[in-house]
Amino acid sequence: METLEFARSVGKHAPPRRVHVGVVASGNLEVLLEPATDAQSQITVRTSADGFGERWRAVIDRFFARHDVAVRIAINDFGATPPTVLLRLEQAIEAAFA
Amino acid sequence: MSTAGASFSELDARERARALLDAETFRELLDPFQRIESPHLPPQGIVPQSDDGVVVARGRIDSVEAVVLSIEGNYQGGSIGEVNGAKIAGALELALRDTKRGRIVRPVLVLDTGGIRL
Repeated sequence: METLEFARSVGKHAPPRRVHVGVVASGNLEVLLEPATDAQSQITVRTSADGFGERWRAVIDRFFARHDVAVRIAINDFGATPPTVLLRLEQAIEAAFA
Repeated sequence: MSTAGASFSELDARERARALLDAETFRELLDPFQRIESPHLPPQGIVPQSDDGVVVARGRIDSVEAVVLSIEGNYQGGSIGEVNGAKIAGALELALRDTKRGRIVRPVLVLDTGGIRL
């Protein structure tokens, strides 16, 4: 298991509610998304697959390129592929702003 | 998330609890944001889940008070550990206490488990 921390500059839009999606099941992940509490958007990833930090960085970069948001995100991952991670993040952000 | 028309067995633990309770009565206790997760798993290199794989939901079924305990079978095989076991035991004890005092609370267990967490 590996824990990764990322920070991104805080975006314009803070979600009006917090959202939980997903399950820590094989090839899957859970996402806890809340409004940012700091001057930065913070992302904490706990993943069962060690050594994929650069892959996570790329996924998170892509997410924040699409969404100008002020969020705090916790991810518990059990070997999800990058497309699955992005889908879960999209699901969370859609529910948070719905 | 809308689960209308979906097979009950295809739903996750939280959606199952929501499906069993009367509309709009679902209220989760110790929800994922409380982060009541197992402290024993990370030292073993196992990623914890924010609800430790059990959903405790209060609400009503056919207008009678109910507590639904729903195990997430896809997290660690739905296994019962110290933390999620305590959630289940505590919720049942609360329901029993309320019922003895004359406020009937129906317990509903949605068991999707391989057994004890080893």
